[in-house]
Amino acid sequence: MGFAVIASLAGHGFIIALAYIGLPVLFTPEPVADIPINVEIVTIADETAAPSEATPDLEPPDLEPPESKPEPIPIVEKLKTKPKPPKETTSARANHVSPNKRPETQLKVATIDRQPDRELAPPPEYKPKAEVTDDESLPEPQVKPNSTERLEFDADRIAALLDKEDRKAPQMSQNESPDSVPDETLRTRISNFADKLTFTELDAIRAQIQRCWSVPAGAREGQDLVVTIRIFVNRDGTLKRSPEILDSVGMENPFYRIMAESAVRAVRKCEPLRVPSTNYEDWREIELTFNPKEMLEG
Amino acid sequence: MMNLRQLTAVLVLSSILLAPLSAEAVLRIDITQGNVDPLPIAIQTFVEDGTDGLGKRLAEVITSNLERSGLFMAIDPSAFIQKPQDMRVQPRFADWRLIDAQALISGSIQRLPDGRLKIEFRLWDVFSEQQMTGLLYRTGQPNWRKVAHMISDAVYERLTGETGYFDTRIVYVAESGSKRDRIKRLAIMDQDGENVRFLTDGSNLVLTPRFSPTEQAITYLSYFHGNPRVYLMNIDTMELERLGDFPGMTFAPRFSPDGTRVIMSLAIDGNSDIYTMDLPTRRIERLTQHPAIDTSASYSPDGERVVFNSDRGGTQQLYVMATNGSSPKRISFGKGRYATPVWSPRGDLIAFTKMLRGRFFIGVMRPDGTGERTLTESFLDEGPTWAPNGRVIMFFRQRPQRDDGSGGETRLWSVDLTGYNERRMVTPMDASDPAWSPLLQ
Repeated sequence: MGFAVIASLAGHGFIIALAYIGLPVLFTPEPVADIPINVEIVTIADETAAPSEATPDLEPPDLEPPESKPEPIPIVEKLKTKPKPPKETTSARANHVSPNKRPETQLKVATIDRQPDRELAPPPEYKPKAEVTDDESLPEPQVKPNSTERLEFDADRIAALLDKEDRKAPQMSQNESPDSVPDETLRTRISNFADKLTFTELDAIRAQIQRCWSVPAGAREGQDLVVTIRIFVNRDGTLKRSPEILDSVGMENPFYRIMAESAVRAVRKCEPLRVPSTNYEDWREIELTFNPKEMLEG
Repeated sequence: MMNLRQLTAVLVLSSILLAPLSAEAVLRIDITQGNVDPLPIAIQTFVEDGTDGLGKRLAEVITSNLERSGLFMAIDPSAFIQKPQDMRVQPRFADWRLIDAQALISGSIQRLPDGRLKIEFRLWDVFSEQQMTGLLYRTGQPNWRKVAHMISDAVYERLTGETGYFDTRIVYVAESGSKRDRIKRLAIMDQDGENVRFLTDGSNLVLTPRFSPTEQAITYLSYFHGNPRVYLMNIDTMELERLGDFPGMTFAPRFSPDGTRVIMSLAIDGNSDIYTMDLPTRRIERLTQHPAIDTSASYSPDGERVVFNSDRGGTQQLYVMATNGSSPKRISFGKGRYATPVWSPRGDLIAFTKMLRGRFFIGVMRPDGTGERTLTESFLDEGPTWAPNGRVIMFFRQRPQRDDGSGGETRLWSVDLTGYNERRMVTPMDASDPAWSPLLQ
């Protein structure tokens, strides 16, 4: 009897003790492993251009543009005289009588060839025209308010900056887990690192072109359109020859063509580029990938 | 888990070590940000030959069209360096780059011996120094404004990749008289507010005009013997026809995308349902059969589906069903009530009026109900209609009426699909219920 009680007590005590000590262990979270943090080892030049490129252009947002016409025509007059300047009255009349006839019967439309009646001389060789695009002499292209936000200094953006796989760059900024960073991306960054261009220099080129690039408005397929062009740069920042559009097959798609044209225009507009004074071999040939995806989504 | 991490670390390390070997000579830079300001464009006065200032006015109409789109910024002509006369051969591109023009329009207008006009234009890429497009038109004098719109469309299309919408017209309800004794007439104007003319005399109330997608015809609601009826009008011949003779009232008409049918609401004993009428055969088909109020139907551009609004769920919401009336499905689930759905000509969006907490909104959502966003908000915004390229929406906005009877103005407004570039149309009097025509042929 006495033994049984003691044995029972001891047994129960043991189980309770085990539960008391052991159970919490089940709920203890696994110790958090150190998450490796990617450190970009980049050379920063003495003067960092990135933030100062963006900030001076800040402008108060101008969301509601002024109305197109301040409706200057007095209403009464408009009612009386039919809303037409005197010279047009005949035309207006004619339209009233048979508006439908004007397009079909009277209007012949002929397309002039791309190189029309007059033979257009091929564009002259592009030689330095510093007086035209010199940054000091021209009004700076303005950065839209919402895009300045994105130019703010931010570690993720720097990573994205050095990243050629830009589709993956935004992903990374949202999802901090390094596991999701694809291998290829890392390698690319490192290869850029190996180029020995400083972050500042790289960013300076990038910022210039971004300011020169007028994103084609309203391309509804714009979000999927990525255009890459290759440019060949002289030491003075002028272009050695016309930019090459990689994958020029896409030019049959009008949206693609418009994107590609806008990319070429951006580089032309920026010519001569402000380029680093050293490491010419690193930047004599640059592949620029224009991708408006982030902008259009933002 | 840890093993995976270690593996990753090893991979990272090894790739660091191996990377320099695979480094390429070509530097790659991603351009993910750019300028979304309107594109600076220079529109040079058209060189003329015996046309009394038409060259300048052509340029002005084109300028106003492109600027109104919100996508272009016309450079002030006083900044132009090169004179129009010097541009007959080729522009001096350096001069145009100097004033920051990215695109340039030049052209000429000439009176032919037979009295007609010959108008030609070229669009230049200033930085690539290339002609992007060039067209020649021959037309009678009265059509110069139409040609200006056609040129605007060609330029818009070449620079944005979208079809233009400048050579279009808008039919609307012109309102005059006191609030109590309102006269409502159908009026039509060019997309830029010019060439206004009235289609009805105002003796009968008119509402909800809608353009045919295929011909110069409109359908609208007017009162006949005190009953609302749907009418069909050919705006060239001014022929008028009442569609069907029903025991109840018919309203909220709209054409099918192929122009052969009119979809409308028919109310009998207070219950309204959706019907279609085949125009060639006049056959009537009933699409909905529900004790709730079903109205404001609009076809998808492929003619496969119909969006309408109904209070069958308790409040006014948007539903999509097949063209034969089967499988209606609710698509609007936000707060507030939804009305006047209109399917975009592109098919990708549905525009609607939304009422929430005493305010009105014009908004868009995808046909499956996702991606809802509002574009405008005011005391009273209503009746969206799409530009034929599906990028611009026009609607009407009424100001609140003050106690002293002032205010209450009703005007047409347009807004870009982005929600920016809200602009008021110039109309000679109060205007409501706009309907945008398709591109004119």
